[in-house]
Formats: sequence, structure tokens, C-alpha cells
Amino acid sequence: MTTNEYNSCVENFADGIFRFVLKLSHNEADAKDTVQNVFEKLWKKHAQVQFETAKSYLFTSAYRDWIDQTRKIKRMYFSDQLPENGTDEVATQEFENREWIEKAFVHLPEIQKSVILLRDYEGYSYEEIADITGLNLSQVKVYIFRGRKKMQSALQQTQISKITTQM
Amino acid sequence: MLINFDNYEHYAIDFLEDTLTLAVKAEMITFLQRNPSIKAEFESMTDLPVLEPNPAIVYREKDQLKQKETRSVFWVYRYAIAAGLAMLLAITWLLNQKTTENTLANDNMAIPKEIESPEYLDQSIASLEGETKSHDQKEKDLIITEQDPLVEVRLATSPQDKRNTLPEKIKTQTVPTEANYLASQVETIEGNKTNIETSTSEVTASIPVQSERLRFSQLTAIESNPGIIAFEQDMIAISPVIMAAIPLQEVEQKKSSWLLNAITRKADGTKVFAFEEIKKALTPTRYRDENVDTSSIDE
Repeated sequence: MTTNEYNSCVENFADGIFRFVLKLSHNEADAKDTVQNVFEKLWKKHAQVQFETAKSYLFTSAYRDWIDQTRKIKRMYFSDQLPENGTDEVATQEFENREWIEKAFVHLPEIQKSVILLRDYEGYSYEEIADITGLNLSQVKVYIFRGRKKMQSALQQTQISKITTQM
Repeated sequence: MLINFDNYEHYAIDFLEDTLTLAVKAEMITFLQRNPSIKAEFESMTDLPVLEPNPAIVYREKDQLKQKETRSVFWVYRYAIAAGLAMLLAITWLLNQKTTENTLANDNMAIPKEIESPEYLDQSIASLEGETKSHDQKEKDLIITEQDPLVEVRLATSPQDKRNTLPEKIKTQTVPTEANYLASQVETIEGNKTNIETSTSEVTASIPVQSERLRFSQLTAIESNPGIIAFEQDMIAISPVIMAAIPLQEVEQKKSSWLLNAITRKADGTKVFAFEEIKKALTPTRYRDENVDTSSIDE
């Protein structure tokens, strides 16, 4: 990969990686660190990495970097409770449902969040997500199914409780 | 394949996205019909929640991540290198031109005095005579054994002062000889006296004065009178180009014909004598235009 191609990767993929990690970590500083780490790593290996596979390389690196970070600080979420306040400082929500989907997402297991983000944010195929995360194809599909089911369930509970409140 | 409670999740997302094959889809439907609770769960997931990225979230420090184009030293200094190479080529060409001019100048102007001197000529002739004498003082025919097909004599366009003429003022031209004679030379040794006679016969080729083979041969311009070869007007030079130029002066002055005598050695050591009548070669158009009486040259 040439320097120009590397810079093109920065231009085209830095935002996506930042959103991806920010959505997982809910911490802007951590997300920035991850972005810097992965691009630093890419630059060191830019002679070996092909431009065509750079995006996958970056997201794989970002995912692993984030996994390493969460293991170090031991703050992975496994709670089923919704947070009192949304911790995503940057994201803005247009609709209430969207907000609840986002809040439901926060409480998904990290692995489910990762695969759903790769699918929804970056449009990766299940096979590509399997490559990036190191999971097999069946695991990816199961995690995505479970994640979506939980988000759907949270959204439905919210709607039920709203109806109950109105009554 | 049998979809059951333990593995149905593997097919669930593809079922909901309707990407299963017909056979697997039929099997999934069968499984759901057997498991109403799961079927109800699937029915509630007709509109799966999908996250949407927020385009307002951007990484604002991209410039810090970008790298400046680092090119090789060769690339950075490519114009300087190209200019340097061009200059080097130009200098080489100029030097080459200078060398060529100097060679011509040296050929024209810097004939060593010792070579020009009668003593040197005498020594040169004596050496030839000595070689001939070594053959028991017997008459020996030196037959031209090889003729080069090249017919070319280069001449100066005007009489040259070989010591004062600037190189750039010397212009040479090629005057093809029309006929060539004197294919053999006979040396007769009688005591201390050497008689050299030439026999003339028409040959089809002339002395290759531009030939690389004759580059270091001994060339002699010989005043020719019928039946007599005299060496008193000889000159010896390394370059065959200059050979034709100097007799030109003499031709103009003496109106005599000249023979160009080339003596060289073949690879096997055989000495080859070759003669060329250069009268015609030394009578370029300019002299004809000046009404030079060429018939008197033959006298």
C-alpha cells in the first residue's frame, strides 16, 4: 500500500472505526486511542497490507484493540438493566424508538454488540464479520440473532410500559 | 438436516432475512410449527431493530494520522539527477568533439619533426632495404596479396599549412579515386644499391586509407616518374587522412603526380606494399575550376 492509499484509508475509514469503537466503549478517549493505535499499526505494516484489504485489517485491529482495552480495565457490560442516562455522549437520536434501541444495544454482551455494529454500521457480510472477529459463521449468525432479539424485546417492553403509563 | 431446539438459532437470522434455501426454509417452518413459543417469538421479530450510524460522529484528527509522501532520494532529486546526467553527457560530447578536433589538428599540424626529417625517412627506407637484403640479396617480388574494396581518399579542400592552420578551418572531403594502378613493387639489390621498380597493372581496388587496418601503417607519398620511384618527397604519417592533404600542396607547387604508398603488415607478418596513383584524387574540382593544367601533372 502506498502512502497515498494509506492516507485514503484514514480519510475513508477513520470515522467508521471511531464510531464502531465509540459505540462499543462509550468512551470517546478510548475510541480515539483505538483509532490511533490501529492506524499506527497499519502504517507500520503498510508495505505488506494491500489497499483492498485495508478496511478489514483496520476493523479487525480495532476490534482486537478494543477487546484488549476492555480486558485491561475490566468494565465489560453484562447487565440486563437499562442505564438511567444514556452514556453515548456524541450520538443524537431523532426518534424515541431509535433511542430505546440504542439504549438496549448498550446492554448487549460485548460480542453481540461487536457483530451487530459490524453488520449495521459497516455493512459487512456475516462471513466478513467472522473473519474480523475470529468467530465461525454460525456463531456470528447466532450472536446477531440473539442481539437483535434482545433489542426487539427491549423496544417492545418500552412500548408496553408507555401504553400502561398512558392508561 | 434436522432443525431442532439446540440449533435453530443458527438458521434464525437467515430465516428472518429470508435468505435460506427453500429446503432449509421448509424445514424451519416445520420446526416453528412444532414449537409455537419460538414461532411467536419469530413473529414478533418481523421488523428487526437495526442500528444506524450517526454521520455526525466523526474522527476530527485525521490529519494527525496521515503520513506525508516519502519518496526515495532518487525521486526527490530526479530533476537534479536528470540535469546532472544531461550535463555529463554534454561534457562528454564536447570532450569527444574536442578530442576529434585535436586528433585532426595533430594529424594536420603536429607531425613529429623526427618523423618528417629526412633521417627518419632514410631509416625507414633503410629498414625496408635491410629486410630485403636479408633474403640473400636476391630479387624479390612483393606482390600485393590483398586489396581492400574501399575506395576513398580524404583530402583537404585547400592547401594547408600544417603548423599554423587551426583545426576548425580544416575541411576535408572525400574524393573517390577512379582508377588505381601499381599492384606490385620489385626491389633489386645490387651490392649496396637498391633499385626499386614498380610495375603497374590495373587493380580493382585502392588503398584503404580509411581502413582501420592501415591505421598504424607507414604511408608514403611518392613522386612518380615513369619507371622511377623516388623517395625524396616522401612524408610519413600515422593518419591516412593527413596523407592526402600534404601532397596537395606539393601537387599545386610541382604539378606532378604522386603515389600514395602504404606499407603495412598483415597478421602473419607479411609485409604488404600497395600503391595508389593519387593524381586524380589530388585534383579536386577547385583546381580544375582554376584551370589547372592537369595534363602537365602527368609530365
